[in-house]
Amino acid sequence: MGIGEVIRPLKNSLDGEPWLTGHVIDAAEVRSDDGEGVFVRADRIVDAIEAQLVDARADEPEGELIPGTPLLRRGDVSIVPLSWEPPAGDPTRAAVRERASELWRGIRSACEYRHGAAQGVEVADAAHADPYRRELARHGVRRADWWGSDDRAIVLVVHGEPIPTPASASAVHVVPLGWLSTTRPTRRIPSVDLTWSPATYGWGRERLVEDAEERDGRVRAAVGEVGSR
Amino acid sequence: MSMGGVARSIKESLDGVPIHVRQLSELFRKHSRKQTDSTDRVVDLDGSNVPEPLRNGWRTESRWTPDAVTDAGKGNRPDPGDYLSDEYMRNHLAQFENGATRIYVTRTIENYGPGNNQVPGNVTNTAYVFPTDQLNNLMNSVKSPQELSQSLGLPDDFFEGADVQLRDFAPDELDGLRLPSGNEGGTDPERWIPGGYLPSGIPEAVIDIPHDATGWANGDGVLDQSRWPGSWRGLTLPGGD
Repeated sequence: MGIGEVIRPLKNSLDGEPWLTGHVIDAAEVRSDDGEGVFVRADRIVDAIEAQLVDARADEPEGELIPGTPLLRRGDVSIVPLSWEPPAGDPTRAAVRERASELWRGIRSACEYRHGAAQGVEVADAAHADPYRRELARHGVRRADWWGSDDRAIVLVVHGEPIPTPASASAVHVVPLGWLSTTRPTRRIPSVDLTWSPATYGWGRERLVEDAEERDGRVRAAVGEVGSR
Repeated sequence: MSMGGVARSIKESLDGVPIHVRQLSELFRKHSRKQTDSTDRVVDLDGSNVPEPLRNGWRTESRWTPDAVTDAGKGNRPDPGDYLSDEYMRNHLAQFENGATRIYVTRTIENYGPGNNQVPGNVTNTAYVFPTDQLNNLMNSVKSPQELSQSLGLPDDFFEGADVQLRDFAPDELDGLRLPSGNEGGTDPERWIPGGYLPSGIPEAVIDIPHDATGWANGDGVLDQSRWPGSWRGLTLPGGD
């Protein structure tokens, strides 16, 4: 399926297997695919967003923002998916939810450190005149916090029905600052496609396990090379 | 008087207002969340919302206007001494003679320590602070957490369910106390305006924080609060017990 192809809106349907950026999820556990903690990954994600999407965004291709964390490009919008949490009652889902919450807090913390307190985005109105806010509402975003960074806005979004229903997905959007700024607003915001799912891009369990094993192999090889010197 | 009449009257009254006051007024209006209706916006143009000292503290011979400073962007803004008078800066910093305080989200200070040094190419480690006595007065005068949030330029729900704390920096801990240039880590590009005031009129400054005053995420993997300047203080929110 092509990168820009639209799948079902998140709001009405969220299925498939749970997914969490930088993690391997299997029946037994949810574990980091490179051994680092959730807060460390959150900090690395924000570091990479600042370096690659704010300072040098024009050169950054779609693919991975950092190993294990995907990056989607949609015109002026970059999307860094964080978690995908379809309804399920098993312990794995609870573990994914717990780590996804930690990751969300870590992203917030990293952004607060760099840019101060977050600002909220009004996302309740699906008929909003502004295409970005309208799409947030259409995709079932229940909460969005944003920080300005140079001429971009870093937006941390959480999808799902209102609390206390558990979140269904989370992501970071990087958009032009004027889409959210009240002091330097963009006059015309183009239509924007915010859809994504792990299944669309093949970030399923098998792929992540393969990636993790490949990375483990590279690490072992590198350690071997160093050790042989 | 009709709105057109009001606008003409305001416009005529602006003829003698210096450009920097007009721009400061507009910056305070745009960057503040308190003004919500068109009448307020028109009235604001008389510059009444610009703190009096700042209205008189701008170097009129400076090539920098308030708009130019703001628009230069983080990392490119001039030293405040390039556009503010020495007397203004001296008087502004005198407001901190009894110490300075900052409000921290607990997880953020634990992750990163009390400074903000993560700006590409920036080697300083600084923290934005308020005058302790003025912040205390403000906290004692507001009637709700929302009012405190608004006064500090924070989102309305900032204190709702938040784990936040104060950190007091004694007068002898205010290393490098100076007016913010807007290039510092933690500068909010949406709200920052030149002159050392929040859009709500609360004075602010920056101090240097030691580079080893780090947290879990940016240091050597340990949380050693003995390296941090200042002292912890719990935050009692208005309306709370």
